[in-house]
Amino acid sequence: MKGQRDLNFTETSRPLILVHRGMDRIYESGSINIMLSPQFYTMKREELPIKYQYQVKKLASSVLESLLVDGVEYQYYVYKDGADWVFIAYDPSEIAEFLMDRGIKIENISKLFFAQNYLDKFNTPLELSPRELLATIDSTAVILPSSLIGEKMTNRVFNQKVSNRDGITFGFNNNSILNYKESIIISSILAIFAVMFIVEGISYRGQISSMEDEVALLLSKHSSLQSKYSRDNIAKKYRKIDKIERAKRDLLKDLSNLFSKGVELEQLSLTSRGFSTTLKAPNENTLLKIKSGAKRKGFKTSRVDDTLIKIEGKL
Amino acid sequence: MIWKRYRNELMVLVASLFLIIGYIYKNIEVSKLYDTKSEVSKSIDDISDIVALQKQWDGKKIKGKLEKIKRNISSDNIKSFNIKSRKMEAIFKNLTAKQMNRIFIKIENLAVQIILIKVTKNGDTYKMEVKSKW
Repeated sequence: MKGQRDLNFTETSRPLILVHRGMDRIYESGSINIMLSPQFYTMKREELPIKYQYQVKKLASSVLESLLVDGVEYQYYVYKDGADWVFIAYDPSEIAEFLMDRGIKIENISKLFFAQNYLDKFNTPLELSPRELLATIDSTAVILPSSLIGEKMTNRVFNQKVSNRDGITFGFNNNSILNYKESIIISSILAIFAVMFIVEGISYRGQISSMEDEVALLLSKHSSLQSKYSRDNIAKKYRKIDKIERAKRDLLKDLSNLFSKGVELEQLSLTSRGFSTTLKAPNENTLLKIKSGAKRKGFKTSRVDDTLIKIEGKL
Repeated sequence: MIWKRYRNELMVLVASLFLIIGYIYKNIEVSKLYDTKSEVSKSIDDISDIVALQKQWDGKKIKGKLEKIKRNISSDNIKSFNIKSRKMEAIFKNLTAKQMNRIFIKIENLAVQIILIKVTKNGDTYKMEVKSKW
């Protein structure tokens, strides 16, 4: 269908700028990818019986040693091409300086590609300037003078299609305190802790809701106690009754303890406010015993006559 | 754009914010858990307490038990005995000390609110007035 684009998640949609010494100043404000021409990297092809890229990468500095300038901090990129490993060394500072000179902001660069990795694009030599071409010779991307190849054999349109997989992160951001790898590690650790905290929080939330369910179940069995207000009121009412009634019964128990052989009850009045009682003692000793017992309990006593004693108290 | 220049730091910053949010979220939930625990425990205690108190002081069988007191006392000793809308008013007369004591113990052991107990001695017998409600 016309205008419909195929979805391809490995292909990048960012503009791809081919970087070469003769390029003009460009005015691209958005995010871009760059492809380095052989002018910005040193490359060597070696056949090595090593399987993994990370192992080969460790050898890059020694493999390329004789081709590189001393005192320059190179970065390395390796990839497998058929039976060979291709080693590439580049100087990030030099590239950064050149790009800034050509109006490209470093922070706008998303991925870095190498012309060597896309030899198919240069099978037909690409015209970089009236005097230079980028071409593929013996499986190597090289810069050639235009005079070597006829004009009809060249290509003026740069095919911008590249795969994200082949690009590397542009790692010469001098303002960063952390490099990309460090920041990924730190961020991952922090994120793991964050997830742990969140999971812990969610489990606490689960406990809270199960406790609330427990109370809801209990309340559903006692519908009159649903609201806290009514619960408090009912509790207040019954606690007050319980307190007063227990006090009355304790009082009666204390009074009954004043009785001993021969002691008779003459009168008793018990209300919610207090009590008054009159006891008859058979002799003076018993009366004094009653009096001291009542005083111990904090009751007020008064003698009515030789045998009668009145005891009063409040609840 | 400046954020692109510091994207590594930005990544760590975002992860740090995520961590802080996670930590705050966890602490809020911990605090809620403690609050809920204490509320739930209080609610359960309150409910159990209220149910026990209600059962004790709002007994459905009180009326029957009070009527049993009446049945166990000779009608000669009862001047009046009325139970009406969860209230009892009774006046007993000519009670021996033993009978008076028995009524006392029964009332004391019932979960009723004692409004009044009045005992007066007339010679060798007692007059007893009891008012209670439940």
